[in-house]
Amino acid sequence: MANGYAGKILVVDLSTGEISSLNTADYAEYGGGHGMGSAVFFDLCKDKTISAYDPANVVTLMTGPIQGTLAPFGAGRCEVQGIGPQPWPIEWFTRSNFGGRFAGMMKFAGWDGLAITGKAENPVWIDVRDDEVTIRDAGESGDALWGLGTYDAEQKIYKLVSGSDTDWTMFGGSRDSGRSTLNPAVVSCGQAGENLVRFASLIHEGGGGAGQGGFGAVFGSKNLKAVSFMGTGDIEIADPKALMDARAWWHANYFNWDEYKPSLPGLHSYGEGGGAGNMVGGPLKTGGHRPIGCMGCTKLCHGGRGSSAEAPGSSCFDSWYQAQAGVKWGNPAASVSNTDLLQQYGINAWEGSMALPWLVKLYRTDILGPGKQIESNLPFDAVGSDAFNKAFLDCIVNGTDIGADLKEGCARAATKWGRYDIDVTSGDLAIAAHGYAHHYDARTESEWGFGTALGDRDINEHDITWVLYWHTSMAPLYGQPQALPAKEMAEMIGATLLPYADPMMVDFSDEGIYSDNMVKFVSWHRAYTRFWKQSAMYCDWGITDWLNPWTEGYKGLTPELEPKFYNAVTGNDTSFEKGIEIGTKIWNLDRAIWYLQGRTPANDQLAEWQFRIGTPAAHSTYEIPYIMTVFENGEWSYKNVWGRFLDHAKYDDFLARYYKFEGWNDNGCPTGETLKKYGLDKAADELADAGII
Amino acid sequence: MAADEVITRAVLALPEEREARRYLQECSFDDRLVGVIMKASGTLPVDIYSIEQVLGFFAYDNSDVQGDPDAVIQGRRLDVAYLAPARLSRWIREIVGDAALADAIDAEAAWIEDPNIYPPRMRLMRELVATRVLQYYDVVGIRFAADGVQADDDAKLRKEQ
Ligand code: SF4
Repeated sequence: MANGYAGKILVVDLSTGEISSLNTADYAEYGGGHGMGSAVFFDLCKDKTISAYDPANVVTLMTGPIQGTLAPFGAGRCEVQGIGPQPWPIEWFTRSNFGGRFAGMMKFAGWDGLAITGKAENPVWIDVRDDEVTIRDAGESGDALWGLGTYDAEQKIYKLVSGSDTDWTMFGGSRDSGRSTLNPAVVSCGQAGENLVRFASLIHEGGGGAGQGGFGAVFGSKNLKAVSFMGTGDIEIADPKALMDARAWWHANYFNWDEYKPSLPGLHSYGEGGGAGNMVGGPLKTGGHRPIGCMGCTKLCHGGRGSSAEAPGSSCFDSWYQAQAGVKWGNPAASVSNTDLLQQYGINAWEGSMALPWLVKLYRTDILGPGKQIESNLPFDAVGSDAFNKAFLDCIVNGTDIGADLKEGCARAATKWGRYDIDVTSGDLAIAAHGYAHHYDARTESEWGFGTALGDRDINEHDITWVLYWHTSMAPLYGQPQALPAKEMAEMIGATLLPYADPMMVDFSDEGIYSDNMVKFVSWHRAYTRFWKQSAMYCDWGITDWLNPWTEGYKGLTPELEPKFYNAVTGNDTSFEKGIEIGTKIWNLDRAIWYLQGRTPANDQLAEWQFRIGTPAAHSTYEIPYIMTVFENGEWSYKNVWGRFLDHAKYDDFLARYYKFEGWNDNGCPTGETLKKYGLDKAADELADAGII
Repeated sequence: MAADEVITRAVLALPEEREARRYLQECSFDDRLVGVIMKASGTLPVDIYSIEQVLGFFAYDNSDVQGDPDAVIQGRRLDVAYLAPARLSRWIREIVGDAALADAIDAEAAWIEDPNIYPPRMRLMRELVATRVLQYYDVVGIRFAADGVQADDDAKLRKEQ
C-alpha cells in the first residue's frame, strides 16, 4: 500500500546471528519514530529492569512515513531508543535522534526501522544492502573497523560497500534492477562507545549525531561498531500531488526565498534560511564554508564543511562544548580540531560542556589536581588549549586519570568523589535532572524543566523557547518593539494548543508556572513533541512555526503544517489533535516502561540548585534578559522572569495535579484504566504482573 | 552603529606598573564574573576570572555581525555574549580594582543613544577593555605580535615577554 512506509522492520540478534523482521503495519498506530520504537522495545525487551549493557537490551533506530520523502525537515530524521547508560541514577529507557540521510537510506533499502538485540562475541558491523543483511567482522580478522574514529570507520565502510578503493561509489547493477551512486548511510560509535563511556554518541556523517543517552556505549557493549544502509528502492506515497502542493505551500509561506524580510521588529522566523549552525561568527570558524544539512531540508543548519575538512557538519554545542573554559586562555574560538576529535571519538558534547566549568572550579578551589583530594595530572593550567582538550578527551576515552570516573558521567563521578550534594546544591555542577546538564531553565521555562523532570532526559525541544524567550528577549536587546503585544502573542499561540486552545497555558508568571494551566501545557507539550517531533519526526529546528514574518498577522503555519505533509504521504486523515492524542498514548507507554524500571515520584524531582538560587554564586551574579509572557493583575505583559527560583512545596503540588490530569496514580504511574483507555493493555498487564499497579 | 564605528571618548591615564600587574591577575573562584552566551539553542554561562578573559568572552559575540539591528535576522546563528554592563563595571571596580576603567564604562553609556540597546553598548565595553588591557601590557612590558595565521580568529595575539 502506498502510504510512505516501507512495510517491515529489521530485527538483528547479535548473539545468535538471527535476522528477522516485523510487520510495520502492526506498529503503524504509533505513526513512526519514537512511538514505533517504544512499542517495538516493549515487545522485544522482555525484562525492562536490565541494565543498558545487558545483551538483552534492545536498541531501535526508527523512521516513519515521511522520512525519505519531500516533507521538509523530516526526510532525514532517525529516532534512537533503548535503555541508555547515561541517565542517572536509573538507566532509563531513553531516546535520541539524529539527522542526515540515514533514515532516508534505510527506507530506500526497504526498511522502516532496525531493532538490535544480543551481543556479538567479537566486534561486528551490520551491512544492509536493500534486502541483503549481513553481520560482518569488524575486528582485525575482518574489516578492521574496531578502534577507528567515527569518520574513519564511515569512510572505510563506503569503500567496503562500493567494493572499490576509489572515492567514487557505484553500487548495484542496471538502473532498473537497483543502482545507486550514493555512498551508503552509516552510523557508528567511536572509541568512546567501544570503551563504554556512558555519554558516548552515535555519529553519522560528521555532525549528525545521537548524543544524549549514551547509545554509542550501547553499541560498544554489543560489540557493534556500525550500521550501514545502502538502498536503491523508493518510497511510495499516497498522494504525490498533495505532497507537491504541500511543499509549494510551505515554500511560499514558511520562508520567502525571493523577498528576504530582515526588518520585522524583533521577529526572526523559524523559517529562516539557516538553522542552528554557526556558519557565521560562531566558534567553529573554518574559513570558507559549504553548508550541510539533512536530506530534503532547505535549512542546512549543520555548520558546514570548511576548507580544513575537519569536523564537517558540526555545529551548535558540538562546536561550543569547551567554550565555558576556553575563554580562560584567550582561545575563544573552540578550535576545529577540538571539535573534530570530539566527533571522531564519539563523545556527547553536552556532558563535556557541563563537566569543564565544574572541573575548573574544583581545580581552582584546590580540590582537584596533583596531590589533591581528587588526584589529577591533567594540565588544568592550559584549559582551552588544544593540548588540554586532547588530554581531557583522551583520559575519558581511555579511562585514565579522572577519566576513570568521568567516563561514568558527571553525576556518577560527583557521587563517587563525595561532591554530588555540595556541587549540585550550589549549582557549580549544573545538572538539571536525571544526571543531564542544564539547558533551558526550569526556573524560567517550566515546560522545558518540568517536562525534563517528568521524563528521562533533557527534552531538547526548542519551540516555546524560540518564540517566547529568544524572540522576546532579543527584541529589546536590539531596541526593537516586540513583534506582537503580549496579549496577541499569547492568544495566537494559545489558539494552536489544540484541543485546548487556551492562551492561559503560556502564562509564565510566578503563579502561572505552577498553575493548572501549566499542568495542561506541560501535558500538551509532552504529547505534541512525542508525536509530531519524535514520531512523525519533523525536526525540532523545523517546527513549531508559531510566528512567521511572511504570513498575515505573523501567524505561523502550525497547526496546519504538521498534518498536511503527514497525510499527503500516508493517505490518512490524521488531524493535529489526533497527533496529540497519539502523543499522549506514547507518553503513557514510556511512563509505563519507566515504572517497570523502578521509577518513583522521587525521580520526577529537579536538582536542588534550581530551588535555591536564581543565579550562580559568583561575585557578580549574571543577569540576562529572559523575557516571557505573563498574565498578572488581569493583564498580559512581557516580563523578565530571570532570577527567580523554584519552590519545593509548589512544585510538589504541581506534580500531584499533573499526575491526576494525566490519569496517573499518586505515585505518578499510569493507572490500568488510563493505559487501557489508550489501548496499552499489554503495558497495564505487565505493570500489574509486576505488582506496580 | 556599525562595528567599525566604535568611538570611545574616555582617555585613561596609564596605570603604574604595580597597578597594571595587579589588574591583570586572575581572581578566585568566588570572585569570578559570570557572563552568558545567549544562543537560540541554549544559554551558556561562562566563568570569567580575569580582565583578559572578558575580552575572550566578548570575542564570542557576533551581535554586530551585520553592523545594524537587522543582524538579528540571523536568528539561530546569532551569539550574544551578554554581560550586564553595571555588573561588569562593578566587578572591574571591586575585584579587578581598576576604578578608572569602571568609571569609563559607566560614563560611556551616557554618550550613546540608548544604553539599553546591547550591541553598541557591548562594542563600547569591549573597546574600552581592550584599550585598557593594551595599556597594562605597555606598562608591564608585555609585547604582542600578530600571528596573522587565522585571519578570522579573534585570538591571534601571541604573548612574547
Ligand atoms: S533544520 Fe537542520 S537539523 Fe533539522 S532537518 Fe534541517 S538541516 Fe537537519
